[in-house]
Amino acid sequence: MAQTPQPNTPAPEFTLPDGNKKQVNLKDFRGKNVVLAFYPADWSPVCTNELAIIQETIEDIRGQNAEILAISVDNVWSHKAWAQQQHISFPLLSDFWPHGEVARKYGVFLEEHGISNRALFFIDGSGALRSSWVAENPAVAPGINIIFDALEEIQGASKEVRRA
Amino acid sequence: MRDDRMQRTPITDADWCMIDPNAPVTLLEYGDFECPYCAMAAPVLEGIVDENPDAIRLIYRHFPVTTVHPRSLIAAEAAEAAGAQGKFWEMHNALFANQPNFEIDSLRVMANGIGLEMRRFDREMEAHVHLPEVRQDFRRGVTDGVNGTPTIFINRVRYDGPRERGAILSAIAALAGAREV
Repeated sequence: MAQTPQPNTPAPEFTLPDGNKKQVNLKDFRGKNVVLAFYPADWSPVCTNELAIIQETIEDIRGQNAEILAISVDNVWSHKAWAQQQHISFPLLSDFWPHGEVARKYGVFLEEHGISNRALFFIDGSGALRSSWVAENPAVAPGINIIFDALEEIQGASKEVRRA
Repeated sequence: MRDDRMQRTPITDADWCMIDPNAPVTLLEYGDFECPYCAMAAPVLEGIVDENPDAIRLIYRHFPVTTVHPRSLIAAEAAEAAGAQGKFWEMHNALFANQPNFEIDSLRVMANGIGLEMRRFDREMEAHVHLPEVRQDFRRGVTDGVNGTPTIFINRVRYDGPRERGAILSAIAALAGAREV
């Protein structure tokens, strides 16, 4: 697998359509922290569990000046139907074509399966990648604490800078 | 970086504990009464504890995922209301057995069936007296790193393996062995 981008370097840019075919550009979120959540597949049990818990805590995530963008290689129609069924209110981005291009940029495309690994990337308001988590086993979802730990670290560090 | 698979919150006397509170092995489950996987895991976990009453205790905390399970929150409140009358586990079992029929009338039938004092049950449910306890469990689940329902910790380490008797017992044995070394 390709290397994941290094912390404290600019996060790879991308534009992808969401379930409503709206083009979403990473640059649009400057000034906010961004959590990129790569996951293998809409409709699968582990992904359903993972994204349901993110949805359940979305207000707390947004409370950390953050937005979450979930990315898989599913097409926009699948994203739309799955988001409706699961009541998902954050964007699901379609890395369908060129297939898995953004997952490749982030070094988490699983070539042998044609899907993305499960991974989280934490990007600060300046567009710098701050930290990441990549699954050892794509069948195991990350603990929701990983998202809050990373966002608190980014928020804490930005407070330090403001104080300095 | 902290180990994200370690349970961070302590078990307290206020936690719901099945069998011996002093058992050396603790299974902590974060569950959602409307979740079918939790209903499947319940008899497996109870069986493990029943077979090893001196060695293994089970702690249950609420983790209602209401966006996909809209009745899970009221079910958790009902379990707490039963707990306030000393019948948490009876309600826990009734809820999993009757999933997902958690309209208030169904919850009242379950409450009556396990012998709760109904005026108190109704009053507490109507006033959402037990909502703070449920919310507190959920927050502890976020801190501990829940990654699905159910999430199980064995002696503070998250267990991500199959929720089957043999696999869980092997994981317990491996942890016990690691401690002795």
